[in-house]
Amino acid sequence: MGKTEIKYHVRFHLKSRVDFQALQKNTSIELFTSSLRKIDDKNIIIDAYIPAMLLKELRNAYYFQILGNVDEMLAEACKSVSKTNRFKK
Amino acid sequence: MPFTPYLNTDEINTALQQFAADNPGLCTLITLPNLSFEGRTSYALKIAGGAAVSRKGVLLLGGTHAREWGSSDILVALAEKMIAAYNAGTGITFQGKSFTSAEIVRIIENIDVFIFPNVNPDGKVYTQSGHDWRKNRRPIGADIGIDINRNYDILWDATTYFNAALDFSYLYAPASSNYHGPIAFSEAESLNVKWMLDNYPNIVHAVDLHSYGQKIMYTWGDDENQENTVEQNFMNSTYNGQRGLSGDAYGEFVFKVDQDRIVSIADRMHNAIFAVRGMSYSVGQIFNEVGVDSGSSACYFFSRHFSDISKRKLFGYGIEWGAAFQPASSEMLNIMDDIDSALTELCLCASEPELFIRDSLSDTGKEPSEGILCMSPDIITRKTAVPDPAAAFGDVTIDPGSDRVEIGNDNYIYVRVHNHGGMQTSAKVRVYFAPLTTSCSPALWQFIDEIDVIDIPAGGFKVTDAVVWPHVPDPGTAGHFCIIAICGNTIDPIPDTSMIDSASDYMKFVSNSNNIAYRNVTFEDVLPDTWFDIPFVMRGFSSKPEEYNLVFEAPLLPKNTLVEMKLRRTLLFDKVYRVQIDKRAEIKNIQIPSARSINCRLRIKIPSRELIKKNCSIVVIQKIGNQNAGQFTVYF
Repeated sequence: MGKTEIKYHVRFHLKSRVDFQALQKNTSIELFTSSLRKIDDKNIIIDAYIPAMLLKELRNAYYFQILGNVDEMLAEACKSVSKTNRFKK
Repeated sequence: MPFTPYLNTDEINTALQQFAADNPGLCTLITLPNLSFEGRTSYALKIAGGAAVSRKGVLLLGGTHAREWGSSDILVALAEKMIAAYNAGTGITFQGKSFTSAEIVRIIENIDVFIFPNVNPDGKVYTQSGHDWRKNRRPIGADIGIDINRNYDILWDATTYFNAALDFSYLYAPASSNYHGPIAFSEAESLNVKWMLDNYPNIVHAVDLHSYGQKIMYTWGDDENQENTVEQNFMNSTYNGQRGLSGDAYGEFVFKVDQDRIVSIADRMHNAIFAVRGMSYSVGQIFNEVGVDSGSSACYFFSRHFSDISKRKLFGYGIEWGAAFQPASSEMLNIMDDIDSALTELCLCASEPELFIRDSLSDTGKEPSEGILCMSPDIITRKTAVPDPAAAFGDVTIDPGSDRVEIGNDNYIYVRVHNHGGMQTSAKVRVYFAPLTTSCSPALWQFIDEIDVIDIPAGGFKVTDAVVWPHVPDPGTAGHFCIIAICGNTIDPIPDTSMIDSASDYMKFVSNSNNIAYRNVTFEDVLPDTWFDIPFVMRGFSSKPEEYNLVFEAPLLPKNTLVEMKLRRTLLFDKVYRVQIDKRAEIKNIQIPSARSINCRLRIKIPSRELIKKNCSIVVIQKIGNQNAGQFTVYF
């Protein structure tokens, strides 16, 4: 995934393990297996980062929600990073 | 505590350095040997108070994945709270969950808490400057970074070990966020974690913090766990290509006692999280929670003692905290409470009773133990039962020694079981023996008995009641028996011995597990008390007292067989005759009152074990003058 590409944080609702494996093969998609939740034997919820250029293609194949723009989310989070050193005496 | 912004790398380092500087008797700064690609030094902190010598260790890792910032904050906050509580003599409260001051003392004074909060400092610096990133920052060709949590040496080369139906291209592609590196342990960050484990072999629990998913996970990650087929394990190349599929014949082996303990601790961490504010993390095996896992920290931790039996068993966990990589400040503060509660509970688990039987007088329960292994002073044999073993063997600074074991007789074994945990406990002690052998494999062990020992005080010991070793069998060899004692309970289980298949393994196992000890005990090479006890009746026939002779004929018995015969003459007085038999022996002039019966007891002591194996006999003939009055024969 190129550094300048826009990425989206999404939540996939997959209907089979085959879908999961297909997404896993695409190295442009970063799947977060730790977020994986099994609804039943087939249905899976899993979060991922996807490049904006794949948005349309993936929309045609899978159901997912967009949780946010990754860079924007990170920029917001960076505001919460300490700019000082509270342990320094 | 008010929320402080996410810690940066310098701040994390300063925190650890300052904790160590401010608490010299309590905290030790550990400088990791491997610099990151960008030249940063990593630090860990050891928190350990009190005077206890033999201590278990808990390793808490954070910051492996660059963007999962909160892991470092969770660990620094935990260190800060633990240190403050211990110094102030208070407990710690995480919203709805409280740990008492006594529990904090129990943790700090009984275990070593190792906190390594920022495993991947380059990654954290990079992401906190506004870049999304997971891996470290080492260039690999045109790409950058290795996923540290795929770089451990456990089933690292996934295409070799796993079923071909599974796709692992993401592990081998340097552009992938899961790229596992050119070889296992290629990275400074994973090597630093390994260095911690190698240099602090007392570590028995290790948790790697990640986000996100609200999961508590335990090993294994390559397949479903199974407890029945030891051959199905990650080291066995026979099963290469079979791992990783659900519901098939392959399952990754785990001992039941380990599985029970792992799940029990994971459940306790879950409950500790739930008590904070009601968050219910899922608890499960890595394979079931997130799918096939190759080269990850938790599985590597647990694999170490399988790969090398001399290493101490180390339970590995992964916690995926929260529901986002960088939660909002207010939620991160809650998550810190959730996870710090779980980790404090884990430390409590580690501080629970630790049973051990010493290998030598200088053995403090530390694993691995050093010095002589074959003469445990806590395994004591006696020829006769000891009326008050607690008093007789109550001084643990001395070795009471062991009597020679008498073949053919009941012997008595006492075991001193120590507990250097922070709580009183009970245990089961199993005692085995093995004949003289070059390889004391458990396959040769013969079970003697199991005994319960209760109320072993914290930091103290208890002597078992006698374990009776009945009719000690002829070992068929010269020399000594090996008496093995193993103790355990639900918290510190009796160790599994099925992985031992060589003398070297056995010695390593004994050294590395303080639940087991053994003692070589010499046996008597004669049968001094192997008495054959034969009650019979002599009867007089005449109306007046007569004198009889008793003749013993035993041509197959050796010359020095001792025959002892008691005649019950009165209630208070027994007449005892002793003769040495030499094919034929005689006791003369036994007076029997008129027409009376005399209860007699013939005791025959045979000195040679070999002769017992022959079908020899003794004929006892009652004579008056030269005439037989009666006789009987006893076969041995």
